[in-house]
Amino acid sequence: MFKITLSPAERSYLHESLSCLSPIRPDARLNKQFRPLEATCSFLPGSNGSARIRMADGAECLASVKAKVVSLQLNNANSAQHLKNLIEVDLDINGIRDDSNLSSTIASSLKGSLVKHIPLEKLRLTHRYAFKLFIDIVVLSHSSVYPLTLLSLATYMALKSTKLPLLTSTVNDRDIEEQPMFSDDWESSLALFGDSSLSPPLLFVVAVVKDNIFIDPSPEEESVSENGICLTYANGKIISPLQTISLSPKDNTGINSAQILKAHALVKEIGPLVVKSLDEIVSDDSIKTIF
Amino acid sequence: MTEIISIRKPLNPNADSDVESSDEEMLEASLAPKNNNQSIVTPGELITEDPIWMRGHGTYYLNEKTYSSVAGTISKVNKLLSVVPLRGRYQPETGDHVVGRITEVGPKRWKVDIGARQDAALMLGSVNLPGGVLRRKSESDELQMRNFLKEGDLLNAEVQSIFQDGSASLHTRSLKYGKLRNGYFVKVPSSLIIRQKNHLHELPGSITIIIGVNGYIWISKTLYQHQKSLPSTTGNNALDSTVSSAAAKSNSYTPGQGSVSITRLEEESSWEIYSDKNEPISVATKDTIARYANCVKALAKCDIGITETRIIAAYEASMVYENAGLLLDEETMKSIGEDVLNRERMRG
Amino acid sequence: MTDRRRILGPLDASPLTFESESVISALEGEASSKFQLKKLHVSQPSSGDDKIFVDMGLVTNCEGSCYMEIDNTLIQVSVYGPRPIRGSFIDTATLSVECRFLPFLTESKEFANGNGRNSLTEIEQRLSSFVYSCFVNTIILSKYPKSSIDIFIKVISVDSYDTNFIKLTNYLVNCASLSIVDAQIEVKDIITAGYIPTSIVTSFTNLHLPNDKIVGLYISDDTDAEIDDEKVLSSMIMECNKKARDLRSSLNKYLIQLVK
Repeated sequence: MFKITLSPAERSYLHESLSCLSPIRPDARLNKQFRPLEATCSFLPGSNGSARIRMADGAECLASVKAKVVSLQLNNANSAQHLKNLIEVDLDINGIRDDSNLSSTIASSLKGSLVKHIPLEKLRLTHRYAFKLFIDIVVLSHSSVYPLTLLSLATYMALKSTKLPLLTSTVNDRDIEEQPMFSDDWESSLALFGDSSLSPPLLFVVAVVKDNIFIDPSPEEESVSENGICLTYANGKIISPLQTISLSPKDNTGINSAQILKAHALVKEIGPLVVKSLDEIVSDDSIKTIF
Repeated sequence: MTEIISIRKPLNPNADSDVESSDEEMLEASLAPKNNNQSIVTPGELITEDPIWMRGHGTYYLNEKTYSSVAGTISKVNKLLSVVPLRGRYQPETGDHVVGRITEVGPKRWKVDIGARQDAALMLGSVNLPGGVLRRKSESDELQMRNFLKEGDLLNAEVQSIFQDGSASLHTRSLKYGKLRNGYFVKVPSSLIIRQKNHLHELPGSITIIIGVNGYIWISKTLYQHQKSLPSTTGNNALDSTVSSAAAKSNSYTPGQGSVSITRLEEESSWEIYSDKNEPISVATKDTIARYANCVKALAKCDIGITETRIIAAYEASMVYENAGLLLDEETMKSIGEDVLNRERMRG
Repeated sequence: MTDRRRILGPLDASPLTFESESVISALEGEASSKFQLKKLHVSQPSSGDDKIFVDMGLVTNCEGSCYMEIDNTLIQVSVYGPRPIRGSFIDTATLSVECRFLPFLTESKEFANGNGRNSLTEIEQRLSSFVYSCFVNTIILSKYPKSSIDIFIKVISVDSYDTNFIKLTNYLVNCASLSIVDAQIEVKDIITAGYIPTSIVTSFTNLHLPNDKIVGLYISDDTDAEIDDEKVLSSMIMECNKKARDLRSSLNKYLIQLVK
């Protein structure tokens, strides 16, 4: 856990600035403004999709999506459950143990929302075979208490840039087992989210100070915040999971439903803009030939 | 759109290696005017074969030749040859005005983080205690050290002396030193700070800035108003209005309150100096503080040495952007930096 | 000086003896009659089906504890602290929450983490962190500088394996809340949780103010509710709030009765 110590005078200055009617963030951002980011996609030659995102303060996150052909153990009883297993998320946050509370809660909130928003039917190759997606996320460095926003932006871009090779062999192998064959031409690959109505979810952590909601809180903002809310956004909608998190062990008070609704409205407002700018980067970088 | 989120692509995504970025830095540094006439050396580079030179910091001696052990500029003082590192931790020197944060309360001393290799020490005997300058420190003071300064507290101090191991000993025995309140803390690389006679400045908009030599900067509300003529600015309405509004507010202050002479130390040095409470700060002032903070960050981003005049220049240049939050953008920072340098060139 | 208590065992320990069948049955009978006597139902009127059995202070070597039974769900929470910590000075207490399922519960693949039982499983972690985030907002940590408060939660048995353990989380918060009361740790208010089946848990402090404060909210990913609609979201919160309030009034009655 990264801790920043502030003197009582600094805390009260920050808290006061953030809680007044027209709040002033320490770096003069708007309450719905992100810190500048630097991002690139499809830069890992060995992955089907990858993304790297970096903040000005040095926080950096890499995400990679790799697809592997697996044979489905066929018992029709719970095929839905099987399809769920086609996605595996592995999270590594530098400086935090993999089995720590933070790491595992972040991983589980990410996993839960991903499974529902990846077009699983596209992973299904034949009757017997399917792609299994291995989503690996590495947070190289971060200053935030809860680096979920950064992580989710990187995962979004990695998934959006994921391309799967085109299947050339027969789709129907119900009777005769046949190894699936793929086209060598990377040009004819299919984007995972190409024409899907689904879109990968984005998770936003917002800080709550009095009646003000702040997107992308900086470490010092986190440490004076009264509460945090983690919201998920996909396809123009706020979806579950939605949960409160504690960003700082000090000065916490509860929140009320008005504040939750305010955060809800804020994320709904900025969601499309974030998606748009992320998609621009993804489409820009997809032209790159890396193979 | 950019108001909400700005994502740009890295400059050189495929070959972004450390070597290159450090080259870039050095290139920039070499372009900066103050380094124009000095040559830059890298670790292991031969400086001289002449044995006449005395070898100072940042050099080593092998087979009668002097090499550099750090990346930096060569400095020659008489016969002493040393290399001043471009980057690196702050090296305290006696007399430096620094800003620091208490990390530990120990027996009769506080440990203070000043960004140096080791935490500095602030002895209980080197601070002003409530009750006046001539008061003897007693055992009860030792027991209530945390009531004066505790972990996390920010203060400004002067480096009193340097210990054998290179760590600093601080003192706050003047009214300009002590606990910091009413403001916001910014950190920049210490190499960007130029040692000057005065490190406490008053900026337009009734803001006081303490530019610690160690790169820790404190931007706060000016608690008293000097009737000092502000540097003539351009006809910038926004700036003028903040200044005038601040001046209007300052009428409530008793004039002359700021000029505390050393003889009045006794009266002034009450418990008040260790208070954690901020004065009421107006929204406009907070806004100005945030803008100054972003200006300082922009200067640091452009590797421009930070001085009072440059901060003011950057502040004026930043007035083009109504939302000071836009100053976080790298492009904007660069343009502000160029602006500041251009102004300086014009002035000569 | 080594700590000899580890070798000698607690002072009031009695050696393990094997009684004959008749003695055991007699003891069991006695225990069950005692049990009946202590039994106190805290009902949750709005949900109707939740009959809760509560007993506080069963564990003696901790500051406060609470045992809760809801049908076949058995939970036991013990609170240790505030106790002093070593090392550097901190001006508030640190809170830690650890939730564990008893090992025999983890036979089900859902709980097991495969390699032994050293670290918590994902579900245990999630439950722990939820309970933590509720209580970090509730306990007045600044009253206890340089100390730590540890909450240990043991899940002895779980009734229904709902995928996200919404019900269980709900009980855990309530049980932990009572054990904090038992430990007499200063809190802003007693918090209670309420849930609705479409998987949501909220914890509220009833600060006796018109607007209750939420200290923990979790809407799990398998809800079908359209939380994109603000009205749906707020009505979900309202409903949980109501349940939490109802439970709070039952708990208040229980606690007052306990004092009498």
